[in-house]
Amino acid sequence: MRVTRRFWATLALSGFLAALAAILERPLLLSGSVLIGAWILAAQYSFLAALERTTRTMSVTQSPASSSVRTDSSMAVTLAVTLAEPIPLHLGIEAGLPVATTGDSLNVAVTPEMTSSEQTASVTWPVAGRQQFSAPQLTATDGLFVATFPTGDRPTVTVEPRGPRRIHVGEGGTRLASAAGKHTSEQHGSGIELAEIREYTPGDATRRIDWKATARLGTPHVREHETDTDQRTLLVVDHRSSLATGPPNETKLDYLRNVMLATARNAHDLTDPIGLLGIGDSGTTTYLEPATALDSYTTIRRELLELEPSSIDADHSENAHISRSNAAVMQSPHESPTLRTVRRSASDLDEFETASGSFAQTLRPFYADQQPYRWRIREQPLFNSVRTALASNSEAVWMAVFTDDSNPTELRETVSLARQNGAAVTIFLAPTVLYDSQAAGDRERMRNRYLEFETLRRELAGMDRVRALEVGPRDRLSTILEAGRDGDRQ
Amino acid sequence: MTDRLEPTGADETDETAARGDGELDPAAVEPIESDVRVAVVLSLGALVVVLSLGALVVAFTALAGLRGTIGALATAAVWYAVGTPYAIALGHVVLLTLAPTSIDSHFRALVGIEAAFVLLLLVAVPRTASGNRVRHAAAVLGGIAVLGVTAWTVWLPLAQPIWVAAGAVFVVLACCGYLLHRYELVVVREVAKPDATDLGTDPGEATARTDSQPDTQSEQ
Repeated sequence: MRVTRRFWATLALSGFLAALAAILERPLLLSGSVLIGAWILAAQYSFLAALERTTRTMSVTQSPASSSVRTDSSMAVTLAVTLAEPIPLHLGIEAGLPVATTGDSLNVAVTPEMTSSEQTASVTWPVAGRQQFSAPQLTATDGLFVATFPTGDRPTVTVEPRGPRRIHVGEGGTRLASAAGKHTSEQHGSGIELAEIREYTPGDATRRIDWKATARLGTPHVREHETDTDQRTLLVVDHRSSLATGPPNETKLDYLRNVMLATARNAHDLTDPIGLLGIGDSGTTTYLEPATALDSYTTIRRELLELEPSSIDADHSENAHISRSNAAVMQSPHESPTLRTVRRSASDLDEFETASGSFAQTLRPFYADQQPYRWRIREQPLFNSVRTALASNSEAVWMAVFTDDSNPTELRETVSLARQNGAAVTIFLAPTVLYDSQAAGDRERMRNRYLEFETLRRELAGMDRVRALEVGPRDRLSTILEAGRDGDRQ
Repeated sequence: MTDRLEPTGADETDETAARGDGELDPAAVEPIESDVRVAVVLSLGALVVVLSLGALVVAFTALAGLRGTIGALATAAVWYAVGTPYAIALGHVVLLTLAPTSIDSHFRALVGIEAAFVLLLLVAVPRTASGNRVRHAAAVLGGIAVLGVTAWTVWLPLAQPIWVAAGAVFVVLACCGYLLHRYELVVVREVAKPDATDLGTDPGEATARTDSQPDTQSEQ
């Protein structure tokens, strides 16, 4: 409890009378001092009684508009005070906004005749995390005494960082029941998991005979076990400029990144060899051979987290730099093409186009026949990079392709190529319609574009040992599916 | 009749105290009796207060005739303008000039004047006591009893000088004020304490946060 200047003035009056009484030796004045002192004590008692009544009948609530918010977003917060009856005090209540918020302060004043008051302010939340309000600070005064103390509730707001929140991974609008799991090789051999008990055939090792089953069934039986195998996993990550579609921090690549990280983590947990093939607008940007070492997973995870949509200009300059640095690399014509040689060939073609020497003029007709191949290098970096990577991987591999539907032809060719090389393929596709904010208003158009995408997805999923899944924001997909259902009803 | 001395509602100073932005300025809050004083003029229900002021005028007149009447009217005017403590202070200063050095011959008049002042204290209650008049009156009488007995005991039975009696009065006043302050800390704030379950799911966190609440109050 604090006191105001008026209190000190009143106390000074009492002191003045007491001093005058002492100086003039007139006890009559001391009685006046006693009366003023009694008035002060009674006023303090009545203030406390009113304050106690206030705290019993008052309800202070801090109500954020939502319990969760994205970083740097603004949200209305309402501070409301309700009294069961008018109270004879002036009240001021200051909201206990979390420290990590910005915006105007939020205060409510209640005068003696009021029974309720509320104020709303817009508060910005720049810091992610669980933010708890402090209790509102109540200040009550009667003009002589002031009391300040916390009262009321303390709500919590979860501030989520910007980025994908509700990710849908599934087929045709249906969520994938289990996005990850152990893989079966369907091969029998040495292992721990029991596959079956079958009858003994000549040639089986006697140590594999299951004597209990033999005794029970009357004829020799052997145990077969699941063969423990490693699934070589290659993450093919397309991060070309088309993957930048979408709101900031919620682009196709951002959504796909979450699935990539989950896939990499799953492979790591199963101790499967895992590799990474990153593809920009001008070709391969990252290539890590599948490996089981812990640091390879760490490297891949870091690469995935740092992955950004490439820009065509940056890739061109990077490519020019690579070409120059690899100019001295010589390759035998009998070797299979590698990323370096392919890039060097493209660079050579550029040089022959501009060179005016007799040697270049002689060779130009021969290179002219390579134009379709050259176009493919320039225009189909996904296909080309995958082909190069598969050429260097003789073993069977499970290929997880993360891309969008902006180039269906290249995607089909890439998947066909992978299938021809014996790879099992799972495609995680980001439908452009789920990220295109310009198309959000036209539900019918969105629905048609999604149907086009679904046709492509089903076509890809129809291939042998190929699975195609869509990845996108769940709420947006729900909107499209709802539009589809409405359209069907009409 | 005193029950009809209800607050008249917000006056101009109330609106000043509650600024447009919702912040509270305690210094702008009018002294707690102002609306009651207005009520005295506007409401016939304030008859008791008028009677107490009338008793004051009569007692002063009985003491010093016309000069006493003028002094009492001045006291009543100060009560209306500034408040009860100032009226008491002025009234006693006026008494100093009106009453002779020896009070034996005017003992009854002086007792009547003091009784009128006490009556004024009892009936001109502050706004905070509007729903609690009996307790406020009891607090006034209790304060007078405690402080008065203290002054009387030190001055007469203990035969101490008046300045010692005055000092004793202030010591007792400070102790009583401190006791009421402790009452506020222990009882009133306990009612208003935020629910501990609202502090979070982690009991340790809840304790830490409760402990870290800064005590912004200064000791009276």
